Amino acid sequence: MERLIKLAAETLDIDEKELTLESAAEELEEWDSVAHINMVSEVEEEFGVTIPIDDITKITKVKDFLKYIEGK
Amino acid sequence: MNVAAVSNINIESLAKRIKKEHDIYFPEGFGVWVQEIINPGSSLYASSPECLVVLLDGEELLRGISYESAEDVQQELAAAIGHIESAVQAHADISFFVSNLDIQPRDIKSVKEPRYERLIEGIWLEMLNGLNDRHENLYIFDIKRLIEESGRREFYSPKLWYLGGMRYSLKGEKLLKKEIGRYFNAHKGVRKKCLLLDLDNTMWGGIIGEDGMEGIQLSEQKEGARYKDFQRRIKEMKDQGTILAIVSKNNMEDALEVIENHPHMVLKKEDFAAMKINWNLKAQNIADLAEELNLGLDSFVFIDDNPVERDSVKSELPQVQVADFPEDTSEMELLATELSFDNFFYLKSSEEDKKKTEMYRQNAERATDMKSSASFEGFLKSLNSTIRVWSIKEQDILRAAQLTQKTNQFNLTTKRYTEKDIQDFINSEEYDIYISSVEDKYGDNGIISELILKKEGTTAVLDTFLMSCRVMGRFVEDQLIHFIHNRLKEEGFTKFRTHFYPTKKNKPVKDLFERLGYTVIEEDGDGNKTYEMDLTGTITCEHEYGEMVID
Repeated sequence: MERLIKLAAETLDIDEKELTLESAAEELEEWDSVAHINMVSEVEEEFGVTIPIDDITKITKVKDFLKYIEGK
Repeated sequence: MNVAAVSNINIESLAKRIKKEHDIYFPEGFGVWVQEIINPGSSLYASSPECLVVLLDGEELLRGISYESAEDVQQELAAAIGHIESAVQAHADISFFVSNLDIQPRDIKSVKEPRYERLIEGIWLEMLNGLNDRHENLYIFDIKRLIEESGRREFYSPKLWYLGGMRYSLKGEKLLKKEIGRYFNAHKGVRKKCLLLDLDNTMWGGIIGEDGMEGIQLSEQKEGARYKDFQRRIKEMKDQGTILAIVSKNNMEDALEVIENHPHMVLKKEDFAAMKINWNLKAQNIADLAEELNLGLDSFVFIDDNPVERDSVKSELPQVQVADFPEDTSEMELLATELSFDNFFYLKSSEEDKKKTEMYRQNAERATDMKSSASFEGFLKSLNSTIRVWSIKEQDILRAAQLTQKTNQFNLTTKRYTEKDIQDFINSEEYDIYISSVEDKYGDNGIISELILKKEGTTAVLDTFLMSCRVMGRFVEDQLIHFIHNRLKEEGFTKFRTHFYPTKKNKPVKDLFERLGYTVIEEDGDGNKTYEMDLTGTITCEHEYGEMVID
């Protein structure tokens, strides 16, 4: 969990303390479309998972990444 | 240093990565690369870049054009090259890094049908080579090499392409960022200056002092070739302007014999600016080199196969870059290539660069003394060595015999014995054999020393004392001799006599017993020496770094 938050914070270039699993793209200015794509790449590489292209628009909050990390 | 990058594809993500380390300008939108470089008043030129990366995607460059139509392809590529050439000509003060092309073969065809992707890559390359020749300020950015080495599946991301017109995967972007960074540094002349090389098991396989010219591995074919190929790359690095120096624990004559006479030696004596071939601490040698060559320690890269040496230099001289050594020595050539890209990367070599070694060698002849701040003692203690000694057992006989036959450097009397000889010593009342092993924080070195003693009344004589070169330079011999003194004293001996019989290889122990405080009672014209130690006085040991365990 912490690794995901840390990763998101690094990619979005904001403080870890400002992020939680509930943080949503629409709330954060830094989470634009480029950052969104970057986060997908970073999560894939960091956790060794694949997120299908069709699912990418369905991810709107940090916690939405969890099911790829845990479920596979 | 200001830099800029343009592309015919979306490189915003890549540029943002580069931005963390370099002040980079890249245009908004990506169809505009031609305008940005053609227009002298563009924001790109207004940012005053010293370097400009032109990263072009082959497929996009030829979108809508049939690969089969040679004329159309030629025209399109020539147009692009034309724009680049005018920009290069108009801005001679900017270094242009223009990429070669990679064109992924996508369409499915039967094998018989001709494919044109590689031909097209070649047409572009030919034009680029022309620009490279005609213009000093243009360099070819070798993206093709990055793609070939990682593979297209790793380098490209279809997902990112479909989502945002981003061609490269995360891995691809990281590789590009690294490579672009190398070009920028090379432009600034930021690089390491000097490569320090060990000899045994680095320039050739084996140990010259032990194996001799016939025994070391260095050849054109088969296993020895891995070292010859390594040497070839090192020689090329020297030809570009990298200074080479040797730092090796060896007898000068042994080392020079290989360097000057081995038929497969690629590097010659003149290729080295300096040669520190002696039995001193390597960190001390390197510190001396820094002084003699007048180079900062942070401009050195050190290659050595021995992890003990590597760690010693890392801890004594943290500014020196210590190269990781491959576990698999079939990767020796790869080591050289990677080091050259990471540390000794040149956009071009001037005549001056090529003559560097000559220049440094001359300067080095004006050596000065340097105070060493290396704490050798601290390092030795940190090894946490345990020296085990025991009276020879049945299972040690084979190894004991082998050691007498193989050991050449640390061998006082060089007497060669067979297993039967050893067995006879064991059976005899007159002889004692002690065996020793050393374990340290790096692991168990196994049996590394053997001492054969002969009893003659109240005098004990050292028939054989040998030690593996693996543990030389750590004063293990001091502790072993100290143990023998105490043991002999307990057993009632009053005198201990030892000998040194010189051979071509055992120079390292020529003055061992002088150092240990023995009296020379006899010496002949050939250098054979007899020593004596009085066991009745107090016995001390000056150098104790390992823990002795007596079994």
